[in-house]
Amino acid sequence: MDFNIQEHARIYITDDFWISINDTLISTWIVGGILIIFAIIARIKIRKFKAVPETRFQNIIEALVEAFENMTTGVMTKKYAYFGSWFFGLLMFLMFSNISGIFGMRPPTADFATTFPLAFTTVILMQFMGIRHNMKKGEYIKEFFRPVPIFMPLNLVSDFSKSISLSLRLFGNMVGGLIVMGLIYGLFPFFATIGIPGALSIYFDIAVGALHAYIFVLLSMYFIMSKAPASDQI
Amino acid sequence: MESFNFAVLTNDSWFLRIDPSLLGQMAIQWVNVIFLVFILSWLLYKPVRKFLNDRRERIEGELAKAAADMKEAEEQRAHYQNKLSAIAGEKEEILAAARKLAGEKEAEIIQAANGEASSIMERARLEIQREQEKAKDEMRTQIIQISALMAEQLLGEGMDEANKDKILDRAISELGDAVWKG
Repeated sequence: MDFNIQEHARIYITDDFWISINDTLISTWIVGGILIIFAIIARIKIRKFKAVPETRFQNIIEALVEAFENMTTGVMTKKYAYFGSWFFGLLMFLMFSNISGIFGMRPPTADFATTFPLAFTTVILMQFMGIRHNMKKGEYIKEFFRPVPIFMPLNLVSDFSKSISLSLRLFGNMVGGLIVMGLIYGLFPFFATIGIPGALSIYFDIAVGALHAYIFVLLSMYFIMSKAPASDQI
Repeated sequence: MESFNFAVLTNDSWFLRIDPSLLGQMAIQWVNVIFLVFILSWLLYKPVRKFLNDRRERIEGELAKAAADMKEAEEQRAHYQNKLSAIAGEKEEILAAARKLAGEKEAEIIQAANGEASSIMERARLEIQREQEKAKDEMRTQIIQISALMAEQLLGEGMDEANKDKILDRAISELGDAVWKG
């Protein structure tokens, strides 16, 4: 049983640095491609949207976007609703990535190389929020030296460790689900792999996947809002 | 440097590998996701959000307009109700004035009619009085004539004209006072 990420090719930039064409990258492209096709179809259909929804597709799209917008404004207030563009795409990607395991792919989120850059983006956005909306650049940097300058490393770690905690939480859960499902499939004889693992797959691939995509996005929103001015926080 | 810018097929695998290539994979995944997020935002999220916001604004505008129209209609209704009650008041005033005027006219007409009636009565009374006087005179004359005729019969032909007149005058004066008294 192999839970590793399979590498299929390498493109060398230097002797020690290369781009790896592996399962994660291929899964990401497949998930991305499906989402882009879905978005293109939606974009074409949006032109035919009526003020009073007539098609099920319009209802689904409206419900999806509205539910997400309510979540964004609920956590980040209307003032910072523009972060919604990033989080909407992120949530869609994470959701589809996490449940891609059900189609036999290796979820892109079961790779630390995927989860860490996304979590690190949250940390970058936290700093952006602090500098852009909360206080001037100098004052913001001074905040890291409070209450006494010796706390600076701790303050830095407290901010940047969020990227580790966020990314490892998602990576761990996705890999966990992958391993559990692999073990279950390995445990049963071939004729029993139809049916029983399916129910578990619904839990580990769909429920846990959707839940962790939601948790990742929600926590990112809360982390970013923690750097917003106190008056804007809910 | 043979492998520089060179793609090779491999069959490597790993679970979590911390090495310089991880940075490259992270960068690629980051670019992939950023690109995907941009596309989803551009094609799906923003147009739908714009559509929803436009519809919300339009509905809010229509509701505000309906509320404004309703308010205006209420004001108009109140205005016309005031006008109607003013008209009702005015109607009462006009009716009261008309009644008053009619009363005055009525009294005037009655007074004029009474005046005319009394003048007619007066004229009639005077007429009657005149007729009475005339009848009295005629009666008196006839009585005298009859009396004279009777006296002539009684006294015969011997009474001359002078005596006749004397007796006639005396008889008239006596008759007049006695017979027409009352």
